Amino acid sequence: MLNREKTEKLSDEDLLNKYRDSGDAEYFGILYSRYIPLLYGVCLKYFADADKAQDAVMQVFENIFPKILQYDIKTFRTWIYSVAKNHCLQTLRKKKNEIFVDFNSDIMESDEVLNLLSEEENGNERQAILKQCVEKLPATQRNTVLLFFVKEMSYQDIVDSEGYTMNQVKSYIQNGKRNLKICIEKNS
Amino acid sequence: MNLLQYIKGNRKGKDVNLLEREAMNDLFLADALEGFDKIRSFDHEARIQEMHARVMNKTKSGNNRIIRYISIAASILLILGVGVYSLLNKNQSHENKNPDKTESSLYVSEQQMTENKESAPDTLQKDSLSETTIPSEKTLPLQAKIERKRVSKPAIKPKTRNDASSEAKSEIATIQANEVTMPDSTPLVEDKAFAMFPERDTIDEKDSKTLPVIRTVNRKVRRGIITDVANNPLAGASVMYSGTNTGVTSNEHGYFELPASKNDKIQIAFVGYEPVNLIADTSDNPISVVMKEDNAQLSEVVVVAFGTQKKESAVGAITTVPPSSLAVPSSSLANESAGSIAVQTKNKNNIKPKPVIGKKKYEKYLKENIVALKSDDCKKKKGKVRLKFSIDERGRPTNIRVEKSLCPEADKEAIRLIEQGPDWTMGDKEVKIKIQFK
Repeated sequence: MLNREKTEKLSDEDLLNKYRDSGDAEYFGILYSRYIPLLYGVCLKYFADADKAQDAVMQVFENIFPKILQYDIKTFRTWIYSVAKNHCLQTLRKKKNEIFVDFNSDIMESDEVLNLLSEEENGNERQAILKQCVEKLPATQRNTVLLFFVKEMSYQDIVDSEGYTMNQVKSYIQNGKRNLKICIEKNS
Repeated sequence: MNLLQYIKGNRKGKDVNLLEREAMNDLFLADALEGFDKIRSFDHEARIQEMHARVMNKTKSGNNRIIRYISIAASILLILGVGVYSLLNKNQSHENKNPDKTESSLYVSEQQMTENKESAPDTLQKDSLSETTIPSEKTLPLQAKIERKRVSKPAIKPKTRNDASSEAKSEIATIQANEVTMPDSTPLVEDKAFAMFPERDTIDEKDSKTLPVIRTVNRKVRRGIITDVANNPLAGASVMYSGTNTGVTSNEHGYFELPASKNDKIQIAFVGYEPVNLIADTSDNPISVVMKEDNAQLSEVVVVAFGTQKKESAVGAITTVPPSSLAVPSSSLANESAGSIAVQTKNKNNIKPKPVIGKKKYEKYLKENIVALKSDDCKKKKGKVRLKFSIDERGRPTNIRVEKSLCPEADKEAIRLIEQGPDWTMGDKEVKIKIQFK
C-alpha cells in the first residue's frame, strides 16, 4: 500500500511516471480514482442512468488499464475526458439511443470577461469600460450577471431569490457575458 | 470537496458558485455537473466509493499481471520439461535392434523436424512451431541428450513419416519447443548434418557403407558467408548441394556450414536474389558468396484493402474480395481467385471500374451537385445525357464522350459532374453513365 499523503501531492503525470518506472499499478489506480467522480458525472449526462454510468466508468478503466503505459498522453485530464466521452457516445450509438447534442461550447468563452467582473479594483480603465457596458445590458442580464459574478451567488441561489427559472438564469448569464465581451471589444 | 457537496445535492452558496464558474471554462467539469443535475440521487456517493474500491482492487501491488503470466508460463515449461525428460529416459532403456513403434515415431519426429527445417515447412510443423516459442534455458541439456540418442538409433525412411507424425504430435510439440530455441551453434549444424544422411545407421552392422558422420562432420565442413552487394549478411538463404534436397540455411550473420560431400556443386538461393551456383574446392577456405538482387523475379503486388486506397501509379486491375470469402488463405498472392486479400495485379482482365465511394454515394453526389440548366433552349428540357469515359491510372475519368445528348448545356453539365466527381477504381473497361435532368 502506498502512502496516501505522498501520493496525494503527486501530479497526474507524476503518477503515470511512477507507475512506468516502478511497475506498481497502484499508482495508476490512484490516478484513475481521482477522476472517478467527474467521469461518473459525464457518463450520467449521456446515459441518464446511474447503473449504466457506473458500468461505463468501470468499462473505460478495463479498456485503458492494460495499455495505459503505451499511450502517448500529454495531459491525462483532457485525455481521459475524451476517452470517456467517446466511449459513452459509441455505446449509445450501438444501442441506437438518442444522443443529446450539446451546445456547451457556447459557454466556453474567454476568461477575460470573467476576470474583469471578479476584479475589485476601481479606477482601472478597463474597469470603467466594463461598468459602462454592464449598464448597457438588458435588465435581466445585468441583474443576473451581477448576482452571479459579483455577489457570487449560485444558479440555484439566483433562482430562489429572483424567481427566474434555472434555464433563464443560465441563458441570462450566457448572453450577458457575450454582450459584455462584444461591448468591451468595441470600446477597447 | 466542492464536487462532492454538489454531488450530494448542494446547489447553494459561494462554493457552488465557484464550481459553476469553473465549469464555464472547463468542459469536463461542465459535463459532469450537468450529469449530476440530470440525475439526482442519494446513491451517487456510494457508487463512487464502490468504483473507487474496485479500481484499487484491480491495481493492487500483488496483482501484477505480467508476473502472473510469467509464472504460469514458467510452470508450464517446467512440467513439459520434466515430462519430456522422463519420456526420454524411459526410451533409453529399450533395445536398440528392435525399436517399438512409439520409439521410432519419437525419433522420426525429430528427424522430420530437422529435415523440414530445410525443406518447405508442412502445416503440422508450422502449427507446433507457432505454439511453442517460449525460450528457456532448459532446452540445452535436453538437446544434448537428443543428439546422443540419435546416434544410436536406426533411422526410419521418410515414407513412414505421416503415420508416425500423428501419434507423435505431442512429442513433436515439446521437442520442437526445445529445438526451435537453440542458438545457431555447432550442435545445430550437426543435427542438420544427421538429417541429411537418412541411411546413416551408424552403429548398425547391417549397412556397412554408412559413414561415421559424427566424426567427419567436425573435420570437413564447407563454410561460408553470404552477403548482398552492399556486404549486408543474408540470413535464411538456402545452401544446398546441387541435385539434392538437402542443405542448410545461413544464420543471421549470413554464415553457413555444409558438411563435406563428394558432391562439390553447391546451389545458393534466396528470395529476390539471383541464385548462385558454385563449385566448392577441396580446401577449407570459407566461401564468400555475394548475391545480386533479382528484380525480375518479384512481380509487383500491391495489396489494397477493400478498395478504399490505391497506389497512384499502379496500372492494371484491382480485384476486391468481399469479407465473406476471407476464409482460406491463398498460397500465392498473385492468385486472384483465392481471394483472401484484394490484390492489384498487372494482368489485364476485363474489369469494369466502379466509384470508389460506391454506386449509391456516387448517385447521391450527382443528385446533390447537379446544377439546374439556365439557357433558354435547355431549361425546359427533361431527359438523360449518356456519357462514356475511361478511367486513368489515378482513378480519374478521362476521354469523356457524349453518347446520347440532351442539349448542349446539359451535356456540358454532365461532363463537368463526372470530371469533378469522386474517384473510380481501376479498370480498363469503359464506363457508361446516364445523368438525369429534370
